[in-house]
Amino acid sequence: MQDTIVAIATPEGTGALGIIRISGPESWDIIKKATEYSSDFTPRKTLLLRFFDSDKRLLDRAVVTAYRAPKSYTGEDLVEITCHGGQEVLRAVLNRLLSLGARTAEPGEFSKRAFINGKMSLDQAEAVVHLIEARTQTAVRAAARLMDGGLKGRLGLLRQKLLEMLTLVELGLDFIEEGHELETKEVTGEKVSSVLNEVDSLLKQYRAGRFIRDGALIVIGGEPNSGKSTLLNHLIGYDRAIVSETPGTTRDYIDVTQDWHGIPVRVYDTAGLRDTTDQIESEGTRRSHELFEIADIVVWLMSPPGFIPPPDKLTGRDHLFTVINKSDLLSMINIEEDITSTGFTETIKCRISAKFSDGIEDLRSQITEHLLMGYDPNDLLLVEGRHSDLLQEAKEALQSAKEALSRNSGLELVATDLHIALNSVGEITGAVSSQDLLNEIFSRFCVGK
Amino acid sequence: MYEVIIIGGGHGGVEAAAAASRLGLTVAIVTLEKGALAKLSCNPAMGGTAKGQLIKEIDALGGLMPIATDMSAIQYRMLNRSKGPAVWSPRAQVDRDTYTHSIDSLIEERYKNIDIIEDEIVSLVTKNGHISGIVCAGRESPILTGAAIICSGTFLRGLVHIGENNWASGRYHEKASNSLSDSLAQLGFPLRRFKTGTPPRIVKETVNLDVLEIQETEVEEWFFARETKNRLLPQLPCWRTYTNQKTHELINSRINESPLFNGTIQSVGPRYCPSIEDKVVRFPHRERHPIVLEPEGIDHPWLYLNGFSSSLPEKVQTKALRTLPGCSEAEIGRPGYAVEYDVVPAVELLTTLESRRLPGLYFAGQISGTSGYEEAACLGLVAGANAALKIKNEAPVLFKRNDGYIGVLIDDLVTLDPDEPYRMFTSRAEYRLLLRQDNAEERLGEIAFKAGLIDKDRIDSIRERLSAKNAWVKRIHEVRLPRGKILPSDPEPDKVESAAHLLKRPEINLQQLLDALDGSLSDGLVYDSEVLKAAEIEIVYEGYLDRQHREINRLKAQENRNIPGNFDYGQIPALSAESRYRLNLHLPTTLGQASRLAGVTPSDLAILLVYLKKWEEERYLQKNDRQQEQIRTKA
Repeated sequence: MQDTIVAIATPEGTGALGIIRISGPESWDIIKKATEYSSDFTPRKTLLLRFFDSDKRLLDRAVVTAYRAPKSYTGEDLVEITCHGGQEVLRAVLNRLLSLGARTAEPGEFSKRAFINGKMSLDQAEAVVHLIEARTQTAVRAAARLMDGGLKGRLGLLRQKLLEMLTLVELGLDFIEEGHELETKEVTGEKVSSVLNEVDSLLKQYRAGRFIRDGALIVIGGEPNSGKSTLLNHLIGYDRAIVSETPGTTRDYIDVTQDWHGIPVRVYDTAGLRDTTDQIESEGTRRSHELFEIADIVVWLMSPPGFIPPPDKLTGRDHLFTVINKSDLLSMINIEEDITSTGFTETIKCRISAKFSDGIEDLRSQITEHLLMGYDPNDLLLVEGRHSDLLQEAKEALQSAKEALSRNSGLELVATDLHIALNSVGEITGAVSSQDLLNEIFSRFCVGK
Repeated sequence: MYEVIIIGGGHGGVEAAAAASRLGLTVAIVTLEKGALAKLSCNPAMGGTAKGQLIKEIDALGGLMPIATDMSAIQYRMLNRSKGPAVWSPRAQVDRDTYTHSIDSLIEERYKNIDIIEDEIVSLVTKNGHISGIVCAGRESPILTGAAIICSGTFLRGLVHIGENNWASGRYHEKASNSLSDSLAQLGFPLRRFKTGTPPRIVKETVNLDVLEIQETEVEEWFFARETKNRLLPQLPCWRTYTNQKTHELINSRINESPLFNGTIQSVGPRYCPSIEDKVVRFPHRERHPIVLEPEGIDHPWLYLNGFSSSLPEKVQTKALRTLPGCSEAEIGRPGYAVEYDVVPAVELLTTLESRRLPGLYFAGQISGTSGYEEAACLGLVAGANAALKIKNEAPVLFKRNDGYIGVLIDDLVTLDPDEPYRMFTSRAEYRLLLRQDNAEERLGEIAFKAGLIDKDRIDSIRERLSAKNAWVKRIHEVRLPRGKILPSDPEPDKVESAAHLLKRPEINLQQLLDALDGSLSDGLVYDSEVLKAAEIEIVYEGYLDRQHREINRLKAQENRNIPGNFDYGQIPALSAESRYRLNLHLPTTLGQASRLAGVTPSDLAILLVYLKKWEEERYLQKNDRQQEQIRTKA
């Protein structure tokens, strides 16, 4: 029995649609879990389903087509998911499927499976070989580029730290008769934490770097007539949205791509959120809510006199920027008191007057800083998606090791976790074999009778 | 005429002979000394980390080593008890002479179809590219055979070193065999030199043991062999001590008298088994090195000085020895020495342990590059079984890395091409949590039964225990109880959890659950402490084991994909030069093995797979063409 593999099948970059393909015995179950769809799929029949993350937040609505083995491209159970384009959406759905037990496919792996399962002729397979070669070379070049940067050093260091930790743990398991002074679990635990922080920082940089590569999605929200379209126009520099005094003028979301400090940013304006019986507008409202969920940043405009706060679903979330608009209409005194008196607890990120473009640059730089998590875009280590998956695996293994240490579980479990972490990092830097580990033990410790 | 001839009566040889004999073949062991099978050349102890697991696996395969170990054990210890059960490793001190006698009597009583021939082998005889017999020094005509297994230990061009003296010997003063090496070289086998060593034996009555730390046998009784029911011999202690600065100064001042350091010995020794000279020179910052004085037997006059392997001149060994606590007047009974010997690189072997170069010829133990009694015994057993199965025209017995340490051992040997004697460690096994000493029968029983290595009664009892264990595991998952019943100070005492869930906490064991649930947990199940323990271990490791099983399944397709022996890697231009070199050197028999060779990448494997299919397709078409041709010519 094979495991289940998943990958984004369409090229990187923003298209109107993006396809994710998942193949293997658990593919149907994984999709059912991700969409909370309880009945059975009919092979080759399309369904429109919602994808949710583990906290039941909506990721995307997508067209799902399921195939039953052997009648599929790979000859296995397979599902194709057509998402809305945009790397954020695709990555979010992909990550969800990974967390449900799928594994990132290796280059050419779908074709390899098709070939193994007799779905592909030898001629076709030879073409695949050339493809794999070409992709491998591209991958090698890409990896080489990647490795030229600071990432190489940091990953190398990470690998070395992990190897040293594992060396000590293995020493305590295999060479117990030789009187070596071993580390206490506390010391090992501290080391695990320090490596975990390092992995975390790399993952954080990946997330920041990802914005530079894939772009960020900023969604402007707020009560009707709070100035959303005016803000959009200022942010992008020309009249894109229809601006009028009548609440509810913007009937749909619209978007524009821009370069902010190296980040390709798309700004979406949304329809105002309000109860309405107007059919078009309530559809727009629903779509706005969906956008808030997949946005990297939600700018929530609050303006006098109502200062309508963001919807409950958004409060407390990391990607929420609450902004006071129409500051030109306000005497600055007492606004904050007025707002807090209504029970509002969000931090106000900044004050602007969209109409007179006051405070707009401040907002822009606050947003880019938030996206880059304080990193200078020129110093960022660009981590590839597959590498970030591997780092994520390493992170989970290290967390498990940390937990095993704190629960006072056996060292063999800690060793198992550290092996997994080391193998994951090793897939980026070059594999670490058990022989490498023994070499390290033999060179550092006097072992043997 | 025999069906299988074993050359050498050490640990590999006797298991090889016994395995072939269990499969019903006529077997002979050719040895230089009758009545001295399975001698313990080095320390009087069996097992230890990973090695103890190997002995348990030999037991599951019906071998002799575990039985003889129990028959001669004078101290039992389960190493790593403070850690989890996956790394628990049984170890025993044994009475050296009793061990050898036990093997002798086991062969005599249980293996009537094994002949012991006391003679020296001179050369191998081949016929049509297959082994056909052996020539011995003591008889004119060759002894004919269907298969031969060489388990010669350190005897092939063995050269013993003590100080500046060296002489041809396989063990201290036992005659080496030079002509077999020549015969192998003539057949085209490349030979390399390895080195190993042993510490001095000390005259027990010259040591003041009272000042040393005592290490006793374990109180809890357990055994290596399933059939053992009792401890048979009185239990004896070992004594522990340490080297000191004086020891180190003395060795440093005489280091040039060691053949290891003055250039006399060039061959490679095991890094995990360094001589005391090595330890002192390579780790100068270490203030002391542990030494264990192990009894050589109940009435034996000597002690084995574990940790003090040396090839310094005997006088220097004595001086160094006398720097140790309690040893100021100690006398050496037999000095430590180093020995160099010939090795056939394991890349010459298939995973059946048959040589690629000469079908019908097998290798096992030190000659194939390993070190250790247990490693040799495992390989001997596998070689013996496979030689017999081939003669019987049956499928060979093969072990995967997730079946046992035995699978790791063979796979490592043929893929790593080790450049030092290979010893097993638990860290070599990626599925360590699965390969435990407690479940060897569960892992290997069916394989052993299918190959004919164990009988129906044995497999029935294995199956019975397995189903009893499974019933316990199921029950422990089903029974639910409030936390407070077992964790009195828990903040949520009313929270109900499954017994399995609670058992995963390190502070809770199965006995506590049984006590707390009085009866409802064990109702209707067979109460057997060993089965219970097995169920408990399985549950404690559950999450991790699931993960390992998933990994095994992930790799299964690759592991099961065979590569034909005559596959031509030269036809694949897309392979990198390095991977082509490695593939040609090791000639992996499965895609899984190929994946473990250094320098072979996942994309190499994908490419290889395509060419393999192409190769198979072409062969099929050629066969078709030939058949068509035959039909035409007939018509």
